[in-house]
Amino acid sequence: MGPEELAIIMSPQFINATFRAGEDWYHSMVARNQEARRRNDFENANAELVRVNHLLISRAQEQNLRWKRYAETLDQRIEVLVRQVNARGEFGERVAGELDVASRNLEAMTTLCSQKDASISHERQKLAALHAENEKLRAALSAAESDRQRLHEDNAAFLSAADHFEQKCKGLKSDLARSQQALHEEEAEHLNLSHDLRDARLVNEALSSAPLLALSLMEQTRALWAAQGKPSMMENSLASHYRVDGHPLTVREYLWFATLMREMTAHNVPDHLVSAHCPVAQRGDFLTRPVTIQEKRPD
Amino acid sequence: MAQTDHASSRMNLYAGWLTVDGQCYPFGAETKRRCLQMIAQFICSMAEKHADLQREEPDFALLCPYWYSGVYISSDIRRLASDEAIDPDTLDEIMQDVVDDYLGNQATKITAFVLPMLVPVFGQMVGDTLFIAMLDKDDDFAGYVTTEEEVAERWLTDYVAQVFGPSVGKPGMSVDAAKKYLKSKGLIHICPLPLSPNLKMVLSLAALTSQAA
Repeated sequence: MGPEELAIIMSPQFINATFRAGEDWYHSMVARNQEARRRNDFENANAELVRVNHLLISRAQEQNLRWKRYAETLDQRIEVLVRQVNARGEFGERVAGELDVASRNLEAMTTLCSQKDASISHERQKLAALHAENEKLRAALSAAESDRQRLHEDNAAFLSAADHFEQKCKGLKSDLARSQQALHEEEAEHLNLSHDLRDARLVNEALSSAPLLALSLMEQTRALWAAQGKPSMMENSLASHYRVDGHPLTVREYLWFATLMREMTAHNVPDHLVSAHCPVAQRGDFLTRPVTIQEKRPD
Repeated sequence: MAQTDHASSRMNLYAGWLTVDGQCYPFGAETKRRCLQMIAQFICSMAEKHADLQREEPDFALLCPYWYSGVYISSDIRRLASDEAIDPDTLDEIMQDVVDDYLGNQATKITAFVLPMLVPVFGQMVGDTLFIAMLDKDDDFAGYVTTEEEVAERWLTDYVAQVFGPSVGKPGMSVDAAKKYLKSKGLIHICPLPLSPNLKMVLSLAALTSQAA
């Protein structure tokens, strides 16, 4: 060690500082010891606390279990009690309902009874009235009986009178029928006559127009014969057309009947009258049949 | 109507015609009443045909007017077509009304009427029908009734050359030339003449031949 270092170590500042450092170290050591002791105490207390805690918890759990079990038994008992209470309630309600019905029935019966009373008294009144009416009817019946007797006698009288009238009526009816029959006949006769009259008028018209027409047609025919240099054939007999009696018609007769038939048809003359005025055979095709002349044998 | 060479000994008849849609429909009968009846019945039959067509083929009747379309029937026509006796003095008047009605109506195709008049029948050979030659132009017309078609043709040739031709400034005109000239303005026609039942009978009697003759 040099003097400088010795000087330093011997300096008060160094000595003070060394002391202060020893003091600090000492104090820190004390403090550290204290701290260690304190920490040890804590740990011990902690372990104790954990133990106590465990104990407390397990006890609490046991207690809990016990409570639970107790509570379960309590529930069962409550359930039973509730059932009992409910059962009693329903019974009560049923009884109350029956009571209600019974009371209503009673009320209805009471009303019915009073109505019955009223109707019984009403029926009694009616019965009394019927009795009275019955009496009246009996009286009327006997009166009617005597009337009937009288009417019966009257009726017999009327019947015989009616019989008499009916006979008369029958006579009149047959008179009427005879008159009506006669009237019908007269009417039919009249109708026939008026038809006849009308037909006669139609025939007359045809008969008055036909001759002139036939004459002019004969002229036309003659003219055509003449134009051809043929002689008149008016009087020649036909081989195709006959009278109803079988005699052959001449050309002139044919021309006349054919013209008359057409005129009568045009004037709506009934067929039987055409037939009466045109007495020819085979009248149906008289107008359409071809006309031929009989061959005259040389004598 | 031409009535040359009239002889009282000739057959004569009432002839008339009407023109429908450019065609002549002539009729011959022994009286004017009967001839008018034939004309009226023909008009009625046209109306009936038209009614039939309208009933059976309405579209066709509408779209393709037939030659008889537009003909209608009046009470006068119905009366003339019937067998009813009509006072001869009123006959012309009734027919004139009918004619005026039809000719005044643009819808009908009847364009001309020649009312029945008494005409002689020419010719020597008699067959089962008569013929008529007709020339019709406006108010001018001529007709000729014959027993033979050739006679009718001959008359028509002469008439056109000597009467009709000169009247239009063309003497010696031929029938064909006249037909062309008249196209759509009139007509020339020869055809058999439809006859009444009585005249048919006269023709059939005229054709008889006596063995003794």
